Amino acid sequence: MIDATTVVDALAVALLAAALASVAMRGLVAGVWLLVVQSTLLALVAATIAVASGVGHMWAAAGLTLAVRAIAVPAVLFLVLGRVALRREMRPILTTRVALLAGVGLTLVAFSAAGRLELSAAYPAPRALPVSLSLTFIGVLLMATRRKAISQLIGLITVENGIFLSGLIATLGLPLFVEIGIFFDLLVAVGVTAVLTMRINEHFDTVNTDALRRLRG
Amino acid sequence: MSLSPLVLAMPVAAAALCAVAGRRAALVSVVASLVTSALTLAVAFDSFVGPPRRALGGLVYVDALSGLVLMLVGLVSAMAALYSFPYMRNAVASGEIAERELPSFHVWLQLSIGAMLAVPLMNNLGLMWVAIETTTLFTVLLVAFVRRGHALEAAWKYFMLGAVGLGFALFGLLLTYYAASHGLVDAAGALDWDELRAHAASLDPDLMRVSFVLILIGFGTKAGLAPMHTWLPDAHGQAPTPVSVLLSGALLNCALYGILRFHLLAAGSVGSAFSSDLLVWFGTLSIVVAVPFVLVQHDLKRLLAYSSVEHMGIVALAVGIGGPLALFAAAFHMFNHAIAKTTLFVAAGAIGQRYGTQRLAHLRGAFELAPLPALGLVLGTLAITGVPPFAPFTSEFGVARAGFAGRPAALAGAIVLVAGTALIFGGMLFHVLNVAFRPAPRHSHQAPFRFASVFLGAPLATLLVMGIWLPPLLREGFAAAASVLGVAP
Repeated sequence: MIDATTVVDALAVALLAAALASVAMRGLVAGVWLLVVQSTLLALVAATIAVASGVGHMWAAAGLTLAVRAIAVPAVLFLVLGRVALRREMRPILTTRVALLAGVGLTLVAFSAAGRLELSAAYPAPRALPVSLSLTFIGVLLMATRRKAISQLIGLITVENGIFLSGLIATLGLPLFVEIGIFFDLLVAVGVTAVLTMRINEHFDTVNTDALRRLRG
Repeated sequence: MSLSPLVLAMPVAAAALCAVAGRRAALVSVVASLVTSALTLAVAFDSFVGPPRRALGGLVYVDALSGLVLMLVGLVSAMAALYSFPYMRNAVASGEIAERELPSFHVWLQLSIGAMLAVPLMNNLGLMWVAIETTTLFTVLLVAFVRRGHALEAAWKYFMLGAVGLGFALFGLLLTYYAASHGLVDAAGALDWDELRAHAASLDPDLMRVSFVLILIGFGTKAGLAPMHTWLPDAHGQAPTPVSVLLSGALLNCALYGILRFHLLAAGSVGSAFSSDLLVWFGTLSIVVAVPFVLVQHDLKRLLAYSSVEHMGIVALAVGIGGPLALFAAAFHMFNHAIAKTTLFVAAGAIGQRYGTQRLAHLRGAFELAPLPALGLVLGTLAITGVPPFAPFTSEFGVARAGFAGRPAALAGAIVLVAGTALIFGGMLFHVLNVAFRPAPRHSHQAPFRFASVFLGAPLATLLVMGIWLPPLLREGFAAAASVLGVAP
């Protein structure tokens, strides 16, 4: 009999691997697929906690995660990718190797920082909290070092996933209606990005956010 | 019966109507905004004189602080909707915007207004976060409404910085929830303001410290506090001017409101010194950062945007200084800034459309070409830079006086405030007088602006009267908001 804590820990480590993989990969389609993997793992974490804790609204959280983060959001992103005919992250600010090193470094920082926090989590899974912090850091790294609007959005969603995971672990999520509100916002946010990306593409004939560096002072 | 549910419903209904109203969308939008504005005034005045009210089964909580912000959003959004009428007509005439896009502008405008009105009404701090995030999403679309490269750049920067900031704030919210749900409050109500406020003293101080820092960084990004303000001049400068009015006068106050609620919780848990000092430092830094950018500015709307950074800093500083005098001044100054900035942006928008540019170097002789907007710009500048007898002088003087009598940090803040406002007075007036009185260029655009005297005169008259005589109802309102903000030392 494997206990639920072990399962959550294992899922968390897999999440970390998926996030690091998105640092290593430059293909945008692969990036969105890795997002699907991340979100599915996140839904599984919620479901596992739902089984183990018997808290009913965790099932709702798991279902919403699957529907919104793993299906709806990637679907919109694929749609945008199809429209703008774009496949790879060209000339990222850091080379893949340096970025991966930075990602691993941030993960180590996250693990040592989380070790110092003495939180008595509602759901004690010792790996999950440091992983959630790592996801947040890695997401910021992606946002800061990628040039394509879509890659930056993938970074942003990775940040959100990290926060969501720590919420699951620390407090069994937020109250359900707040959670629903957050999911609603995430959906609208992705819709807004889709609109903006297409307009940037239409206007500059590129989705490089490099073109967006002229406002100063 | 409370009117607050109607306040929430009106903009949503208006947005739906605008979507189907076709050419009449602008009219629907204006009428709806006026009704919404009247409703917010009724709710706000009620909150100024009475006890806090609840509605919709505890979903809505309105005290005088909510009332103050609600009133500001109501007034400013009505002005923004009204001004969008002539502004958009000129924009269509100049080919900047296609006429068939107008209804969608009003849909986004109404939805933005609805989200902003929800911020001060939500009892649950989680839903307040959701409302603030929603304001970003809809206003981003408004900023990017004109499909110029610069506008898209500004919108993207605003979106990304806003989203990261709100991520920080979400982490802070989570920590507060964690602190509250551990045995203190029933988990379902653990984010409700009234519950949290009642139990603030027993929240874990270490957690609340971290939580407040995250909230201050997160919501501070949206409130335009330095050093997280970098999106603000871009977004305010590039947005269609009615949207600049809305961002500067309404949105910034909503974000600041979020910080203030958590400041009260942190002060209750940790003691007031921690969060108050942070507010003093961030407020002071915002004033300092605004000075050089005002002095060497090249764009009229960016000039006004940096002035917003300064004034958000002044309000944060005032709340950080604390005590009845400074808190009253903070509430009063939130009002003054919202009204004055509305006038200034309307004047700047009218002048900008006349010249077809916002670049200060090209705006000359406005007094000849657009006399009323030029006069509004000069008088509005005098008002916002703290020249008596306009009301901002009274509120800024109150902040400075409280600061000089306060602890060392407050004293430092007050010294920076006096020096900073003096420099900004010189800088803004220099730019604005150049715009108004230097010889006019030969070419200009036709940009008719009817009722300019009402658009510009009404808010300026309000500031003038309130600098001399404060109506009792508003005095009570500011005092009541100040007493909500009061924390035990």
